Amino acid sequence: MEKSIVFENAPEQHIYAKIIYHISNLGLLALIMGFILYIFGVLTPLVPLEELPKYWSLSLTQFLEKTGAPTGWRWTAMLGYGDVIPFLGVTILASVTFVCFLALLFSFLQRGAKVLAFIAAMELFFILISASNLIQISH
Amino acid sequence: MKKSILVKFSLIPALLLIPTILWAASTEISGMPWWGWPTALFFTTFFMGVFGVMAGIGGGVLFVPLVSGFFPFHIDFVRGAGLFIALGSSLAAAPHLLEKNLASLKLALPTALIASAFAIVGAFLGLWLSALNPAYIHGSLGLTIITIVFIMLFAKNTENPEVSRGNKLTELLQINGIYTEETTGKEVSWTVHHTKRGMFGFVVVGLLAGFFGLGAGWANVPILNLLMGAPVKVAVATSSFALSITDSTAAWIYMNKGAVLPIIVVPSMVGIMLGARIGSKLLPKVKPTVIRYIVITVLLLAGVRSLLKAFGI
Repeated sequence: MEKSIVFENAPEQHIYAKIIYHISNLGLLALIMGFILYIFGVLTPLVPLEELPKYWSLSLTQFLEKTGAPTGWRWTAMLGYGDVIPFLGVTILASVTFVCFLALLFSFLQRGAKVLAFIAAMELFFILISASNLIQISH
Repeated sequence: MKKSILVKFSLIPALLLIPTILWAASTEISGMPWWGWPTALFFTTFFMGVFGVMAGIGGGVLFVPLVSGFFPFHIDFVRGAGLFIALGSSLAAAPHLLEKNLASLKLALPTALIASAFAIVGAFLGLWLSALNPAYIHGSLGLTIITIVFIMLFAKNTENPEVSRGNKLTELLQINGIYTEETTGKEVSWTVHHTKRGMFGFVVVGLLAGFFGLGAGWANVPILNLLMGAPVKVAVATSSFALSITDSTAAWIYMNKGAVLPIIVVPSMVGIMLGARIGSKLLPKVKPTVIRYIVITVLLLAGVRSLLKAFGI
């Protein structure tokens, strides 16, 4: 006999929506403020703006070699540069999903939704792996 | 009468999109000042936002082929920006879609988990191949975009597909939900089927998203709606929301590798988000089919351009 299904949405949807709304607005604000500081020369960039066209068509490896632009989390120690400060906003935007899934994991564990908690934990693991810059590839 | 005038007016920016791109392309070799490119990028992405929404595909899928084909930026930086554009657009749309219960967290959780895991593989593979020879990326992007054009032309969504019950994986993952259909005021209960096959589809979606930096709404919606049987409104909304999960892993990889340039990312994100807002307001006043065909044509041109670029033409 076919089991009857209880159709319902996850109660966490609304919390998730609120977290996205607030953190992504914060990220967008940080991104635009950082870009204004960069573009109007309030903070000196690593690569002068007028020289950028010489570099942006280079391959990634050449670009990094010639400009000294940061990789991984090195940007956190270089926030005084105009072309690095927008990374603060970029990082906040990239972190929204992580914060949301952390909240989901706690909520799923609290209400004993083991399968959903496992999925949330796996997603957090994949985000952490990619954000940590631990995986490297050699050419 | 009034409506037809509005339609005509809305087509003007459609015609402006092509000259904007051609202008950008023709000035590639001239000595344009540094601020010329970000400005051209802002206007181009603005129109992508307007038409992406009106064509129902989101602007993300237009960004990578058009900007890598017609702007002087290296394809690695374009793909990095493409991921952040898709991420930004998804984050902007998600709160409303989740509050309205159109986007489903329960449907997005397993599908986006698979896609985001494979987006990591796609991102590494894409950056590795690009380091060997960017022509590999241009060529495969061209082929993918031409395939997307065919999917857009021939995939017809079903409003409320018939779904067979008793799928164990669906029950284990508790994939079901309920939303209010605004046109009738009725509550619609839904679940999905063919979950295993659907998950396999998201392996491909994740690989492509990470590889090309594309938003993958064009693939998500057919999988969720035609294969898994989610109602079309739930499929479209969940696809928009799930991109924020799928693309976040690949976005981190591109950022950590140094492939995110603020001078490309910021004007593009602001342009496409402003365009999408205007596009969503124009949406009720235009014929989506006309816009859809314009966008498909532009996408086809961008795909051909990518293929030509792969052969150094």
